[in-house]
Amino acid sequence: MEEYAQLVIKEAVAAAKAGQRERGCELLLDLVETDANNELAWLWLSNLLPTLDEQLFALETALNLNPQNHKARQRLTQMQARQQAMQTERHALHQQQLSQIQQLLADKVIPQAREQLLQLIAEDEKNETAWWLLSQVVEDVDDQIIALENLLTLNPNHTQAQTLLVEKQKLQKEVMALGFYYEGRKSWELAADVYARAAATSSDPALRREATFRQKAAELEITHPGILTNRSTLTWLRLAAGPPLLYGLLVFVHTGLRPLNTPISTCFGFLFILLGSASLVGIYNTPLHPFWKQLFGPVGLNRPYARFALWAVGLFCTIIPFTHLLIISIIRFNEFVLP
Amino acid sequence: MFIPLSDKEPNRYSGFSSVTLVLIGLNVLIYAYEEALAVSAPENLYFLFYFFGVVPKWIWAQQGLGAVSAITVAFLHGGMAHLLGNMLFLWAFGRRVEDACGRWRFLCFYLLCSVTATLAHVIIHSQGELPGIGASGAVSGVMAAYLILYPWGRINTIFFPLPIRFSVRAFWLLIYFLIISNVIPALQVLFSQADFQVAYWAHLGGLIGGTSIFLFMRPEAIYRFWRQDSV
Repeated sequence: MEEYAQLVIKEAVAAAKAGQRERGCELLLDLVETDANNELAWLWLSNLLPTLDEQLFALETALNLNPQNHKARQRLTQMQARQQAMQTERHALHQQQLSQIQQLLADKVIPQAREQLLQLIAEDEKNETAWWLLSQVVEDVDDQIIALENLLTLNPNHTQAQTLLVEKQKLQKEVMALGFYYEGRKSWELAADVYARAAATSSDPALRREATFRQKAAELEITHPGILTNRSTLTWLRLAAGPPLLYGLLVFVHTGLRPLNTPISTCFGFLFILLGSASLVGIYNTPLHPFWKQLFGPVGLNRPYARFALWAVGLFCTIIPFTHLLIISIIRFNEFVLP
Repeated sequence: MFIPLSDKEPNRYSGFSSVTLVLIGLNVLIYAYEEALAVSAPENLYFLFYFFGVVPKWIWAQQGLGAVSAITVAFLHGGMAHLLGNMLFLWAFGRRVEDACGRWRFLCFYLLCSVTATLAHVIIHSQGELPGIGASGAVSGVMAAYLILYPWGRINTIFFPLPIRFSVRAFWLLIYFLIISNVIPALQVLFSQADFQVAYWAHLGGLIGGTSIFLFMRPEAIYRFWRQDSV
């Protein structure tokens, strides 16, 4: 065995000297696998292994086998000093990278910041700040949870991460809330995926309808950004403006373009139309507007009784003023004598 | 003369533009009734136009049907060419506008354009005693909406009377029809009191109404225009 080991070490050293460092390493690693107490093999490995950490490990093992080797101890001290210097240098570099990333985040250049954070973590996976920042910038809640869990593995006392992790885990379980969250972050693809999942799996028909509606809106945001179909107050106002405007202009024509001549009944009609139009648009286009949620609970107008009641009120309030206008037009027409 | 036939693109959201077709159907039916009336009792046709068309002087004097006539005017036509022209334009441009808006909103928009066209006609021809009729004001509004929604859309067009068929970008066609063939005579009406058979100011009223409404609904349209994008 001794002879065999010496032969292998000789071959490995010859290979290394001939420039085949990797081949030498392989031979020595095979040797220490079968003969872990071979001091000479570990000493040579401490020269040939590619990284400083690995070389240190090999040298420490050799010293454990023979603590009296003063030359090896001296070399260990030198290598530890070198490692310390390298770590300090690397730390400074990472700090510089982190401040650059923070600047990017302040400038809202999120994709670039995310890319740099991932690079930084690949180099230094024990960097707590990098994991914390990554948990803020990744879009997918699953990825955020992984980042927070990694951070808490490094530092279990990070209270902010603990709180945030609980919140994210709760969010992960509530599909619609998750969709709203993605909408808020303008992550339309993730939002569309979540809503598609909700539409396919939910047992509540009202929720399925809402999920389908929001999925379409999110898909529209992907293909045609900037249309703002998800700004519910704006959508509500824009869509509800049509019938009152039509009524207002008709009354304007009816009064001979003199709005001050408008009878009080038609003024009330205008208020009716406003109410009716807002109700009908609310039912079909903004059923989850915060206003409806306040009135009818968290699912807003996605409850059959609420929808029906509001639909009836909306239709009544819209039809009555137009019918009234039609009647007063006909009465005036009957009184008219052709000149 | 350029005559648009249809939009090259299919509908995106709905398979069937029912309100556009119902409006065309209604117009055709009412025109058939007018023709029948012209044969059986021509004096009644005269009353029909006066009572259901827009007579500016009566509107100012708060006489006649008033508000209702601002709607009924869009269903009356003075001849086959008048009807055919308006309905072709309504079909070519209205189909996809309805597709983008939805049925009820499109109907409301169409009627709104009819009212804004009436208003423009009544304001400019305040002393006019002849009834204004036709859907062209409302159709102008629909064309404006099309221009805002699909400025780069392609329209199948023929060059009448030659049987040459080609497709042309919507904005060229609309610039030609709305701006060139309407603004100049409309200005002549305003400044030199020219008298035309065509209610150019009703066309412009519909155009302005349609543009205002759609820019209110879709304020990002101008930005999309420069990006050469559509809804």
